[in-house]
Amino acid sequence: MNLSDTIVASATAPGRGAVGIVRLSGPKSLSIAETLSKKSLKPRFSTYGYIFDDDTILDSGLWVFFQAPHSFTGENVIEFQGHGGPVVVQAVLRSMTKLGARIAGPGEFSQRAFLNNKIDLTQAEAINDLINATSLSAVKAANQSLRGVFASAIHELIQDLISLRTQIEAHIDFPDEDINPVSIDLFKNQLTNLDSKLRTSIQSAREGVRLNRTTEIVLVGAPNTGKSSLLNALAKEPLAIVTDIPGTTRDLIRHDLLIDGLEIRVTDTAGLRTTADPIEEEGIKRAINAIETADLVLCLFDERYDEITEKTVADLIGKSPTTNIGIVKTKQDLQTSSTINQTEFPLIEVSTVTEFGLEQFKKWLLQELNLTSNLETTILARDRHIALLEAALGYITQAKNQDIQIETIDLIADDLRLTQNALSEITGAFTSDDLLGSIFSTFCIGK
Amino acid sequence: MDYKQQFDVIVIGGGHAGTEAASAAARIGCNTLLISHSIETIGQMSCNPAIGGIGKSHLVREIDACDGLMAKITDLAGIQFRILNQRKGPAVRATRAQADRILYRQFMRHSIETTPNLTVFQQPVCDLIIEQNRVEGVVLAMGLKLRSKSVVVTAGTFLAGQMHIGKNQQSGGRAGDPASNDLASSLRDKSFRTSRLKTGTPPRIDFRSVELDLLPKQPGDDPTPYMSMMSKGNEHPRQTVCFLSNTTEKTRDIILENLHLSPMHAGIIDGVGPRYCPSIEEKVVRFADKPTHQIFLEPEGLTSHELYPNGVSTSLPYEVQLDIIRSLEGCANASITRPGYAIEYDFFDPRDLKSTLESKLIRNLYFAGQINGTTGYEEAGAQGLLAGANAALSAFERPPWIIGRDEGYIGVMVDDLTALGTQEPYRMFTSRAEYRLALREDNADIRFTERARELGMVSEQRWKHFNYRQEQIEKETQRLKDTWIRPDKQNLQNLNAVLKSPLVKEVTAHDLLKRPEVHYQDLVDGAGIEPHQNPSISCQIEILIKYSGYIDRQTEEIQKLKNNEQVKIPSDLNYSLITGLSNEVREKLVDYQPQTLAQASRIPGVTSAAISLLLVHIKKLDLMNLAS
Repeated sequence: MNLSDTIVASATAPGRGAVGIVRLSGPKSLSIAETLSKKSLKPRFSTYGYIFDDDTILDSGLWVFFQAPHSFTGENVIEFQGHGGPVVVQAVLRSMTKLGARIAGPGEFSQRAFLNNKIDLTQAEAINDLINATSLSAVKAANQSLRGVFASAIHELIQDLISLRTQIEAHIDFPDEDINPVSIDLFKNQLTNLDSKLRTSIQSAREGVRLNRTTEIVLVGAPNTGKSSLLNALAKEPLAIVTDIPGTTRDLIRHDLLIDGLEIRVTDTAGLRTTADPIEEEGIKRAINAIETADLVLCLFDERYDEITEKTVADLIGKSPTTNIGIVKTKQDLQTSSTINQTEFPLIEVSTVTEFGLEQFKKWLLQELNLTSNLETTILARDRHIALLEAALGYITQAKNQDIQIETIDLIADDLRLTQNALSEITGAFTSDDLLGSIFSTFCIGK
Repeated sequence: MDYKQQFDVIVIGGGHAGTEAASAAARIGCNTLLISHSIETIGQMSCNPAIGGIGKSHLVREIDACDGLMAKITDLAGIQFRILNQRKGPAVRATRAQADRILYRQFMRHSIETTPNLTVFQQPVCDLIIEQNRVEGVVLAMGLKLRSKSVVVTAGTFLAGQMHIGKNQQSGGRAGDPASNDLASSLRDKSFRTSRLKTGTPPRIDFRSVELDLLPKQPGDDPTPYMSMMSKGNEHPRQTVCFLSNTTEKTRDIILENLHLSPMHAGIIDGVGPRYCPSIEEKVVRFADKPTHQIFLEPEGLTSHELYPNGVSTSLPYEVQLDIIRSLEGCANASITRPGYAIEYDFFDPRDLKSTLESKLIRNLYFAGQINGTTGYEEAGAQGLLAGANAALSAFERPPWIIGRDEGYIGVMVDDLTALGTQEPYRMFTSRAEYRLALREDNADIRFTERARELGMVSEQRWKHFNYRQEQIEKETQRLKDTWIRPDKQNLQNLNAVLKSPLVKEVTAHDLLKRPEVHYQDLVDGAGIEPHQNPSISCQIEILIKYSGYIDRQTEEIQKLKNNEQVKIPSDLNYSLITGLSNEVREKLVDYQPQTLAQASRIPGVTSAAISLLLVHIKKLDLMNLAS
């Protein structure tokens, strides 16, 4: 939380709206906007123009300048009203973070408005609620962003950085101890290694964002629990062949749903069971792969189940649940009892025959996918991560470009400290005391 | 019985914190009283006879820049001076001096006894006079009550000390001194939080019993460095050398065989020892693959026969200590003059202090030194300076003196202590200072002297000296800016040999110095520039130019964080009224009692969302206050 920074965020809900608004607030907002638009902007006027990233045109739209203190936050505020769609909005946000804006923290625009006397006292509680709600979803989104390969790459990167800093700081703070002599070549190699790992992480994070642009949900369940029926009902057309014969679906069948302007890809899978049929077996393998990469796995259970536990789910998906899981109780029209035994997973009941619960199902999906408007999304979290990785890379590059010598070791140490600060915002603080701890456990210090 | 005279400031304790505190208060003009249980021990170096070192010398220079005592006394008593990290960047260079214990004590006592406005009195203090949460003076063991406007407590050397040698235990302070328990127990009754720490010392050796000829010598630097900016270069006594020794495989075997006799390993000691100063037992166990460990044999003084073997702190039984010492290189026949020991002691939780080192619970009461959980003379002295100055300022009802983390190592230390507390004896390291590049030994005067002068702590003589230096720096910088070097100038080959790309157009000496590969000396040798007569001036200019990009970056970073530093958290803030704070965060805030938003944000586990909630709440309180 830093109020002297310039912050930026999308002011419109994620998804495919007609217009996407990106809002900047803070001391640098005007200069960032003027750099990107290559125009001078007048207070209270909207100016039609482009947004340039170097010499590439990212988008065209309206630039609006609200001069301090006559703005929502009380600071200089710029709005760029461009074309909707996550790809464009992403690119616009990134062009602004490159020029020194920071992606806004939870509730930060409202907070600034309050601190600048733009919102009165009676709404203070509402702002606290907003900060709370958004920061909870931000934590959730950040955790989602930090899954899998990306997370392990970041952790490896941080371990390498800590190890390099430990050596350099030990040489600085304990010159009288008989620790290994400084090896400038080793430091150079480690810097190069860090530099390339950072670049790879940024690359993979960007690819991750691209993949994530369509949210993926996967339908799994025992044969004949109604997966294909649900897909057909949502798509309002018979995409998948539905029969009473278990094992009808072999290949993955995908359909892109549009709910409230948000694109969600639903994948129907082969019912999971042990089979001797090689084609069905391949289908099941693909289903398991789809589970691994999904944002949400919907487990379907029909009237034959009256108790759903973690074990039931684990049996179904072949491992203990690590991804987001939702339970869909199908064939509501056939349910024998009206009560369902408790489950620790979110649950909804539907019937594709009577269409019971289908409309509610869509809202429920958005909520479970954390896609409700105004709340933090995985995409935003990932963007924040990319911005921090790029900042870290900037410092590493600076260190690498130094004439690296024993004489400049204090300067390199400072570049590395700032690299660590940037990365700490992704994975949690690493304090100077943690650094000392690392030195004392690595080297025998104690003159 | 009340003593008739009222003092402005009373300082309890004559150690490194107490002497700086008393001197600072007296310099500011307060009628100051220093009370010690023994005048003979004023300025006593009770542990390792050395001042300075990495991070620590930065503190000493800051004390010096405020016209404090430690650096000047070190120059008078130092018998071996070295600059550590000489080849590394200027931010991490540090001066270290081996001091003669006896000389140090004598010069310190003399300096205290000749300070105007300062009276010394010998008597144990047994209690404080406290009225309505405000300190009004002290009660002496003989029953006398002394009144003052403020009080600085520095009597912290090993409160409730418990010494361990092998499995023997005895209560006591620094070996030979009584543990200061009366005052401690009356303070404990006043609801201050206390915890326990542990540390250790090595046995001392009679140097006549060591085969010094067999050991490599470590001489001081030539020319001999000095600690104080005011040094004229003629203060030092005769200089001497240290010796280097090593543990052997035999040392390791002896330790491993006798490990069960160590009070640490037997589980008798439960205090937390410093990670940076493990006993020789711990070193051997934790770094089993290291065949030998370096030991520095440091002379205790010019007239002393004792050596301080730095690196063999131990609490094993005396017989084992003797075997260990005799297994060191060159020490086969050594005799021990005093055994080493481990000691556990109490400290008062520094989170109960404000950034001025004033107690959060009792007004006008200040704490400085080991009582706050720190270790080291330099750490103690620096706190003494700050506490003494603030005690004086509050006695005169003047605004307090707060040192930011961006201003000095004193600020870093006091903020670390008051915001986060400590789990081990706190020692300064340069890696604790995030703005290390700006907080250098060489610019302590630029960072402190002007402010200290405003506070009244700086003598006329130092102030003139400081201004003269500043003028010289300005003039020399201007001269370098006005000196143009043309590529067709004769005899430029020496300069071009240094330059990455040879000179093609006319350039000022100042701009040349901005190139990383160019040093001031290259301008003298390669471009025929007349050197400045004072090398420390040209050195200062070179550092300023070379660092300027990095310093600008740090200044920007500091500015960004200033906002949070400036948001004060009211001391009576009711955290339970802030909606949305998790219980965990709320408990932490109640426990740590941060004074500013910045301090709150440094508490482990306090999230940035919590900081936002706190900020909104504080703003809300402000608005409510305005409305009413």
